[in-house]
Amino acid sequence: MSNYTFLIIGKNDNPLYEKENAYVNQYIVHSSLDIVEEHVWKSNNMYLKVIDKHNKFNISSYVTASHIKFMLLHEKKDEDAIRNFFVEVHDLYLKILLNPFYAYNSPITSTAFDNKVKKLGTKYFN
Amino acid sequence: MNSNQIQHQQLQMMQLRDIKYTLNSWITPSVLVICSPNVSKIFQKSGNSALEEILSQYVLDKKKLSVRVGESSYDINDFKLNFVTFKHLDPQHYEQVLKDNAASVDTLATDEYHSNFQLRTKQDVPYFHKICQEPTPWFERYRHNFIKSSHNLELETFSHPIACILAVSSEDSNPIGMLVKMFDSSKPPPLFQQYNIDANIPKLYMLVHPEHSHAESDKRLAEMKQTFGSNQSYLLRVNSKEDYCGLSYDQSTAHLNPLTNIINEIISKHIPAYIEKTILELNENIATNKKSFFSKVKVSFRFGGNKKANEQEVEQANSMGSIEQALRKVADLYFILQDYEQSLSNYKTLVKEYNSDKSPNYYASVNEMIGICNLLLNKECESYFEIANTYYQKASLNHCLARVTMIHGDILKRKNNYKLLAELYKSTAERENLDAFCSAILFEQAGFSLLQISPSPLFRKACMRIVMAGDKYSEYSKQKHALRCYSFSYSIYEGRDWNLIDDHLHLSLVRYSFFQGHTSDAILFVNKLLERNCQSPEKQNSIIREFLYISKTYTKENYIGELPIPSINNESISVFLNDYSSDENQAVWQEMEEAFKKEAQIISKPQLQGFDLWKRDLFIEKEKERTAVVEEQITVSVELKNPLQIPLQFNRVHLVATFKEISDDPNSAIEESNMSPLDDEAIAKMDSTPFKVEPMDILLGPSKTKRITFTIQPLKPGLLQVKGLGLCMCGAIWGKREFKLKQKRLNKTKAQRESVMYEPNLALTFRVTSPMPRLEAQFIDFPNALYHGELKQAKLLLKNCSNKMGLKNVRVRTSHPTSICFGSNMDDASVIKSLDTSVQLNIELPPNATVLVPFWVKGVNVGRHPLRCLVYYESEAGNTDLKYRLARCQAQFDVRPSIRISSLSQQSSTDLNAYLLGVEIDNPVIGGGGESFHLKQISSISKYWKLEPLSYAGDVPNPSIVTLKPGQFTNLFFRIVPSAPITKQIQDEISISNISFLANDPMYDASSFPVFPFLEYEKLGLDLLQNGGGNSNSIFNSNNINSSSSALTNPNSTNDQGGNGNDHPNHIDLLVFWESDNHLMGVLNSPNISFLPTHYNDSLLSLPWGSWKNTTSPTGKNHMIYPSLKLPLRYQIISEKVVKHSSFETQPLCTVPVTLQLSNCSFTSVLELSIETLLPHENIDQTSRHTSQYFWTGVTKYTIKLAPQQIVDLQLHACFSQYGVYNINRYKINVTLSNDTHKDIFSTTQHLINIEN
Repeated sequence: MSNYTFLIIGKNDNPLYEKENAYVNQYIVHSSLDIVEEHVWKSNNMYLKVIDKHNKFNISSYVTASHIKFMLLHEKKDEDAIRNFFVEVHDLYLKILLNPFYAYNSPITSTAFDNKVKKLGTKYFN
Repeated sequence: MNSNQIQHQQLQMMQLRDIKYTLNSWITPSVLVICSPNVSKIFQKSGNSALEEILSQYVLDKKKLSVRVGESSYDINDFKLNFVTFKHLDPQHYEQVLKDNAASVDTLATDEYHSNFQLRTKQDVPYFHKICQEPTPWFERYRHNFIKSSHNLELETFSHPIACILAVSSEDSNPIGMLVKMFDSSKPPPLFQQYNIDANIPKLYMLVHPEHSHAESDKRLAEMKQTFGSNQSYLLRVNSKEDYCGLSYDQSTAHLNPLTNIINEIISKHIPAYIEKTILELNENIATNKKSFFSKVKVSFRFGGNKKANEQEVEQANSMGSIEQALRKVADLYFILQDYEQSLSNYKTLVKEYNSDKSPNYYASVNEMIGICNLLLNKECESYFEIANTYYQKASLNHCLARVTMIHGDILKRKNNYKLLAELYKSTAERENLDAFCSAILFEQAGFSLLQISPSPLFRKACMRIVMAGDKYSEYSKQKHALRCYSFSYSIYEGRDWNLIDDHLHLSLVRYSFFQGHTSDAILFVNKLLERNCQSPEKQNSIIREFLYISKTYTKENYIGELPIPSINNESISVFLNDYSSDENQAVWQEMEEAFKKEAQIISKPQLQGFDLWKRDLFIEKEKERTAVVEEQITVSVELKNPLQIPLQFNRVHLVATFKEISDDPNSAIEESNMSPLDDEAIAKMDSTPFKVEPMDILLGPSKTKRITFTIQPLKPGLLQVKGLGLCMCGAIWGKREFKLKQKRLNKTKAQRESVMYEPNLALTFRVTSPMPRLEAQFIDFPNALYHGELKQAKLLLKNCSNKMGLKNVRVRTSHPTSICFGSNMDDASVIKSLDTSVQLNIELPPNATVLVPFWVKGVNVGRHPLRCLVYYESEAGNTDLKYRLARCQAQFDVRPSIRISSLSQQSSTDLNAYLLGVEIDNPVIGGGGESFHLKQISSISKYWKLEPLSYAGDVPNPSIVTLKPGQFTNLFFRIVPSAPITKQIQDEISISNISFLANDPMYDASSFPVFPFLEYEKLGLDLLQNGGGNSNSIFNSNNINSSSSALTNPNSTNDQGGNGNDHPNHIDLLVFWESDNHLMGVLNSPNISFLPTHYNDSLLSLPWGSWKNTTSPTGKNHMIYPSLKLPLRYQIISEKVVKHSSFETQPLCTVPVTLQLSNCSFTSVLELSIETLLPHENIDQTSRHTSQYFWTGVTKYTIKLAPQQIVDLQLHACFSQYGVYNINRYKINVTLSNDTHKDIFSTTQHLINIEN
């Protein structure tokens, strides 16, 4: 499942971080936010599992306590891998939040974060 | 449009909204019309019509159809027929039909769903529904047209023709043979064979007879009737000169029209007969085959009683058809007869016959029909549509799929099941090979369905669907639709950093805004697209290319208006006129320019005081546009930036401006501008335009900024406003970039405060005025360096550059008025009385004349000075717009330190009317390279006083004391004495005393030009410094305040307080002339050296005494303190110094007469004094504890008044009882300072008397 798209979306529907992307995928992820909004109050979990589908793509989502949404666009369903991926990215995201120079809900520009997320991606989805 | 038509349209819209109406129009039987080429030509000629079109007009009205099938009879009141040709039946033609369908809703398409609506959050959705209840009014019409025209001959037999009209012209050579050939039932056209269409349909033969033709139509008709039967043969006379051959349908004359007859016959005779016959036959057939039918053995069956020669072939053709087809045909015919129950039961039987896997298309089609029947019978139908949907998908019948989707969608919409509806539309729209327009329509509907979902509309998904609709519309090149979709969805992504989405939308919006002629929007989006500048250079290159291509294709004359690039730094715009230019010290120039303005009385600002200050806004003068002169260039300098990562080429960049002639009637003023491409033609014409610009080519590298200077030359008087830059981008497209100057927000009136209004910025607006002379000024022989105090002569060259106009009234103002003195000698000197007035030069310059104005420069302040000189002049001819012009010139000079002078002044202890002046002169330059200065002369200028040498008499004993090598200093002492016998009268003449240090040398005249004016200037400058530039009369005002408490306010002398009375006379101006080894000469001025009586024991009256003060100020920054004359009283004791006394034993007391001399130094005030001697036990002051060893006898108290300049001697007697030295200081002088303040003055100098034996 090397073919995946990952985005972190802020409170104002603005992407904070994205793994390189095609514009159609951005549209798909953005449109799935509607469904995330529906699901987020129905569950106690941060991991919302597969919430939406668009043709061959599945969209999984993970919403942090501060309503930052992690969106993963993937083809194959592998819930465990996706859950672990989300949890670890959440961990990384929390570390970014601890950085006093990072403002909440602003784009993440850290290259270290980028590298680590990519590494996680290869770890779980290859 | 009359109300009838509107009503009709509304009715139509209502009908279109009803899916049942649409279904009925879909399942309308058709009549095939076959025309011979000649007939087609006749109709083509008259009004570009065709026979089938004319025929269609006749079935718009409600027609009645009565059919009897077996026992049941059917009466259809609103029977419709479609007239079609082979072309219409041909599936190849379907593409065109779809295109026509798409075009049919073009008139309904809008640019926006709702103007000025922006969907940004979920909360906006209900509002949108409120303001825009029907965002897509074209959908129903499209759906109607789409369903109506979607036919599948293979699956649907109701689209098979049920009758046939054959038409030949009477001019055809063999009409009957032709008619036979045209449609032969035994040998039907290939289409009929391919789709198994029943060829045994009723045929009508028509002979079209043009009126002008001479062919024997009647004979031919008779032949036809013979051949085909009289019931089937008709003659149609046509008038080819009228539109529609004079056959167009008109209700009033319909009964006379031959076509009415034909149609009526078709409907009342031929069709019912055919339907009856066919149903009966088919039913029979089905019944006979029932057995085999159930055993699924396919048996061919025959129908139609028309047994002709080629029976075999017909049989073969029929054998192709199966029992299923028969069933289908029966069901369809029942459907046409609107017997839905019967039709439904047939369909239900039929559906069992099909295998869903082997023939999904038939299966789906029948299910669709079942669904439709159920729908029309108001029964449950959705499941059948779902099945139809699934199997159409399987069979890849996209258009049938779209049709069933639309029908099903309508049902879902009625049930408000928007979620399912959206999904249904979306999945159909996504089918490949579906007509793009249809797909776009479906996506759009899916989007709006998602918005309808309550309580939480899926607005993000909706926007995505609408974007997809936009993509599909653009694929189908429906630009208006595409633009609408993109711009609607744009607001939800805008400003949210979705970089790729933004790029996609911006690019699309740029394209379609352009296509739709919204050029400004397109530019806006190009700006946004390029703003982020995050695309790769290649991408940017392609964006620019596309932009150029689109704009070139879609704009008139290649002129696009506002261009997106290059970006202009609006703050950097600066304008240079010949009269005005800018440099870093703009403020200095401006100050001088303002001063000239004031002098020329152009500004009349009211002086505001008190409460008027509240309203000062009202008095602020409106800023006026600047004045430019015809044929003189205006230069505008701008910073241009290329924001992109690719180099950009701009050709013929020039200023664009508008020009307005000034006239009283604002309407008659013609406005001209050059906002059009500056091509070669425009350049050639430029001489006849009111202004001329100079184009230039610019290449801007990636992310480069360049400051570029453009010029514009007005050629006519009027109002010229520079608007921006015109340019040709990359050699392809012309446009402009406007300058956006910062404007001041207006805030004066209520209206201005409530709305946002801006004051027009007039920086780029010029009032072009008639020609004026132009003066150029230049310094000649201006020294680069001067020593402090040095005097040098230089010249100012004035040249009138105009060759037509003379100039007059030349005035000069400089930034260093104290350093420049115009004139060469006393006679032609132009001396100013105050430093803020300009120097009037008495010069008139004819055209092309040149004049040299001599002037003196003096190094006044040490340092480097940029001298700016502003020359004012007026045209000889006069000009109301531009009263005067200004020319600038500047020079720079250094002033190096030379010598410094310090002075000390002190009252003389021997003479009540004399003072001591010590002068210390030093050459402060230490180290090599310093200049040696020789003091030549010292001069004093004062009204009442003169100098006398004190250190020496006559010549200087040793010249070396007046030569100052670097680091040396010298002290000289002088006595200041009254210059003339003191009179009460105030002298007007000044007294000048010159003391030369070398007797043989010629003397400088201190009162001569330019030494004296420079002294005066320096004093004026000091006054300015002290009073902060206040007027010169109030020099002593500040002192006045200090001294008011201690002033001598003799009631009689209060009148003397003002004016010169305060200007105490005890000061002199000292001038030290020097020469250097290099024969340079200079004068150092020490103005206003004061010498005053001192009273040391009173801090209020005393002055610092005996200290040297710098009296020259090399930097000009020394604050000279003018000591005030606080108590103009001097006194001294005169007595014998040694008194011999023989013996105190014999004569116990020794009385010595003592004279106390009192002097009033003031020229104006009267002093009231009382002099008292002290008793032995009294202390002189609080500090001294000595008691006296002597006492006073005789008169011990005097009360006197001292007139100005009066000297009085008072006799006192001191009495001594012992030998010794006594200090005679035991007296006090009580001065009346004002009515109730008195001051005791005790002697501070000692006067010793030695009492000797």
